[in-house]
Amino acid sequence: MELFSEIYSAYYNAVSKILSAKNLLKKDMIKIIDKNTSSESSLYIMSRIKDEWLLVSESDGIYNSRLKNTPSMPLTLLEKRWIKSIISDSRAKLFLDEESISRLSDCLKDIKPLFNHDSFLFFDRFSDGDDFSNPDYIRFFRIIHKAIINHEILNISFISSKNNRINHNFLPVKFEYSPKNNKFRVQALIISGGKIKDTGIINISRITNIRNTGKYSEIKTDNINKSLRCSEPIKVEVSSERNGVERFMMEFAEYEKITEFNEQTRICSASIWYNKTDETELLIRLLSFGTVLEIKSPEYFRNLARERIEKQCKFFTENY
Amino acid sequence: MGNSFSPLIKNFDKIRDYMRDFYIYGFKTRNDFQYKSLRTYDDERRRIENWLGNFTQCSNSRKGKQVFISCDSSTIEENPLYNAYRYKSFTKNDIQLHFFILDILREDNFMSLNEITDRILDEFEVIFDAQTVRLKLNEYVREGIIISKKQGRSMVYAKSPDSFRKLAGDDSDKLTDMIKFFSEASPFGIVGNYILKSLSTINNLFLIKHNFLVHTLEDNILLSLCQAMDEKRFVKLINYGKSHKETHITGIPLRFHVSTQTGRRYIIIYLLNRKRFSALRLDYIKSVGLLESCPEYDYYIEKYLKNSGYCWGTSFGAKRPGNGMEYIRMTLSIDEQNEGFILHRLKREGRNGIIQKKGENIFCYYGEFFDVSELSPWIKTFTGRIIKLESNNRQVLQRFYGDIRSMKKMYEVK
Repeated sequence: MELFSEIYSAYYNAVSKILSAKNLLKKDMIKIIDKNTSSESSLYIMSRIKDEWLLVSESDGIYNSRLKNTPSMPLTLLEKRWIKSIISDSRAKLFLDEESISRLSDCLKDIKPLFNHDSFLFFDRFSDGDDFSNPDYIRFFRIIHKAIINHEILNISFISSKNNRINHNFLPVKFEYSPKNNKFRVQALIISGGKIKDTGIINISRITNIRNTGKYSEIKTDNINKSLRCSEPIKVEVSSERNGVERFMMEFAEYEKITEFNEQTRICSASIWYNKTDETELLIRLLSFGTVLEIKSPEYFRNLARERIEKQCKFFTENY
Repeated sequence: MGNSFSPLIKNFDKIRDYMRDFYIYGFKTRNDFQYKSLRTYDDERRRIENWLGNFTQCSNSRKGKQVFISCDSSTIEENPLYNAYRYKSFTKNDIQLHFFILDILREDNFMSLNEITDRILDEFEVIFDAQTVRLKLNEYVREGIIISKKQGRSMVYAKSPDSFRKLAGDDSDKLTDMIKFFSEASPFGIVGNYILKSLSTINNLFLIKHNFLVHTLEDNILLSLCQAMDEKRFVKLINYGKSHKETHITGIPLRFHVSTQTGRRYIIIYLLNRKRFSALRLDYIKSVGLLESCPEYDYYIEKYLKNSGYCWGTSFGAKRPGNGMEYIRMTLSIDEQNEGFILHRLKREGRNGIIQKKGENIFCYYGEFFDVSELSPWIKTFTGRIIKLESNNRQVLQRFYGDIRSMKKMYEVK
């Protein structure tokens, strides 16, 4: 049982799609290859699929599969073992009813799970994660799930982080999950008078009620995160002391950034782009690096760090 | 572009370090890649650029051209590093037998090796020797896509009846959407991605925040360790620590400790020769060898469970529970009325610590751990409200107060 095997490869996948179609022109085959593989692959596959692999035949420029049937591959053992693992995850209930999970478990009764959830300790995960077994939570998740697929506008009531009761018509766009928070949120557009009024991100656990509006939207929705991207990156300098550069590069790998390392000073300069709603989280993460990291700009962001250090120094002056 | 270039690779390990360096250390230039020849660097860079398309970028630094993988992981629907798994090389025989065998075999009709070999010749006019076909059949039996049984003195083969549609039944859409989520948020998400590709669909529903995409590059290591833990076996690891020095470590793998904040993942292993737990980073492990089974495995799991409550992260220190643990006491200024979220942070992030109100808007966090130096980064996230920090680990205190003094200078605080 291999994780890295050609049976899952983009090439097999592309060839399978070619063999599933009928009466293809050369350009159709190239189109399928380009869609399913990387660039520079069509040349490789096209030069082999007919004369070397003998998988297609050609007549008057029309290509057809030499197979008798449409190609299909059963689930591999690896795939079955993985499914067995995920259906025992507490979040599986957001998608499937108990009966469906039992039926799947029964179908996979002779299959060993690929991994056990108990084997993993997420030691710094926040302890106030969502309760995925709460019936209301499951119900709200499923309504939103359906609305995302069908582009349905929902009337959602929730309690904001500042404890305000909010109610609006929302067009849910995407779910957002954070393994650190162990929470689902929904990215949504606030709709008023048929137009987008604003964007919003709602914690599913804070929802108190959802009402179907029966209205559907044709508004083209994209990733809301892109619209929340900062206009100016934060620039920092990280020194190599205490393994600072390695720690920083790993921890901030999830961010879009550009870095440069100066061999003489052993200092790494980085420009980090971030989501504007995460500014405070980013500030405290940067401060957690202590002296190995200095926020250089923008000035207002550097001042946020300075203010905290100033406050901290005052405590020390008062107490020592 | 010459015809000789192929995006396909035979060995995943070969590309793993390059992918990691491009993704994690975006600042490296061609001359920094000294593991192999510069020609190898050029080939691997071209492959990665080929697989990842727009996710690879380059910039010019004083040192030269930097090629790097850059993306905000919270804005993408599919981990681009999964592409590395989708370009395994294969031979002409591999691809021909794959499609021919799966075309000939039925779920309900077992066929012998000779029948299969003959049918390939009859239907596709391609001659294979029986041994080559047998090897492929056996490989596919191991992969689970073909089933076999003994009939008389020989083996017979049929296609596995376990298709996705059959397994999913009426829940096909729901199961597909569930796989969309777990393909990005679960260990071995690449397997979910394989299923989605075979169903000709993509994740269009979920974005994952705080997502460490690079973890997928360690999945082969993770898989071997999961197997060892499941079979309660010893393992022999080839490890490259921070110093990049190769060490061989033998021990009992017990649990994975995963940081959702720093992106580091560790295997907690019990070292019999040193009689202690050790945490090894998965990204530093080069290979995992499975050894004999450990009859006392459950005893060591119990031992781990007794100890792990005193771990802040991964350090098991040198002491025993109840016998000179290290403590930390952090007194904080929190405006109870207006800064409830800070109190909430203390509760949700403080792990096994105790929070007590000490006076008006004054709260104290107290915790005992093997190694309180592990708390240092977390403590610094409360910069600006720490009234007092106390601990029996003097080094931690000195470093904290020293850091604040240095930061005062750094940020020109008067």
